[in-house]
Amino acid sequence: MKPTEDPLLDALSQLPAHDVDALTAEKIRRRARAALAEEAARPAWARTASRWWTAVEPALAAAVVLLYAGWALSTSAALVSPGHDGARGALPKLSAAGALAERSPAADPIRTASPRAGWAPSAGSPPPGG
Amino acid sequence: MPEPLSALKRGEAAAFDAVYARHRPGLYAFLLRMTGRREVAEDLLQETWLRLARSAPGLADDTELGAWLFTVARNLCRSHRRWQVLDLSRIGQLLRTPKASPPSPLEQLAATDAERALERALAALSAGDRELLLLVGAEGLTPTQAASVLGLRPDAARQRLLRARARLAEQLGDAAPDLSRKASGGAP
Repeated sequence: MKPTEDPLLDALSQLPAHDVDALTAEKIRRRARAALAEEAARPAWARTASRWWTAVEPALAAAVVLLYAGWALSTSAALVSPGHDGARGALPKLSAAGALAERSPAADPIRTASPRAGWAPSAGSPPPGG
Repeated sequence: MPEPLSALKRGEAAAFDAVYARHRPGLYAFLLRMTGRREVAEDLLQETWLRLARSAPGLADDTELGAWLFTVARNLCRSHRRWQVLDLSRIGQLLRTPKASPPSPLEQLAATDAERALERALAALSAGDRELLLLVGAEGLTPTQAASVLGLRPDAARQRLLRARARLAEQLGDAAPDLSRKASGGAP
């Protein structure tokens, strides 16, 4: 450490040195050396692919998130927009007139047909509903 | 390319040992002073060396290993601080801490009153001021190297160093009048 002309920085450089205890230092050294050996043993293409993926992954994740958010927003906007039939068709009609219109026989293809339409009498079997 | 770096890139254990022996004490001291807790500093130290081991084969030929290691250590400290905010058990512990807190491990290890006062003043600074002062003052990095560690322009790092130094002198105040008096006259 170089002495400087600044007494405060000099005082900082003279602060007591600290180090981990020998056991911890050895444990860390062994782990790091094992990781180094493992890394050095990997083929070059795997390291390149790993580096490439590390660089590309955040951008890819951001792109997927943006695409999904864009799709979700545009779908929500389409659903709540006033001119969208799909939204109104999906919602129940709450007004009394709407409810009556829904229940009128003319609007109900099942009710306008014969009550027994689709039912073929067979011997011994009663008609549906009695 | 310096020889230890090329050997390290080839995965040679001896090169790693040399780098480890050279930079470990400085890194640990930096991490200890930044976190104030031995067990956290040891965890972050281990993570720093594991990152070097995993990244060694891909290091650029002109990498300055010291600056690279301090950059990783500093980023790990920042990340640790962010997670610490979410650690509810630590918040509880802080609420229970009495106002007159006991001396930190660093203060206990200080040999003289002046060292103790300096450790206390450093601990009272913001993390940004502390890391810059430690890198330049305690670890002997040049302001340009410290700027690359902190991701700053060199002139911005020099300005920040001046401000951090002034705040340290202010913190020292009455605790170490000799040092404070000398410091207010000196320049980095």
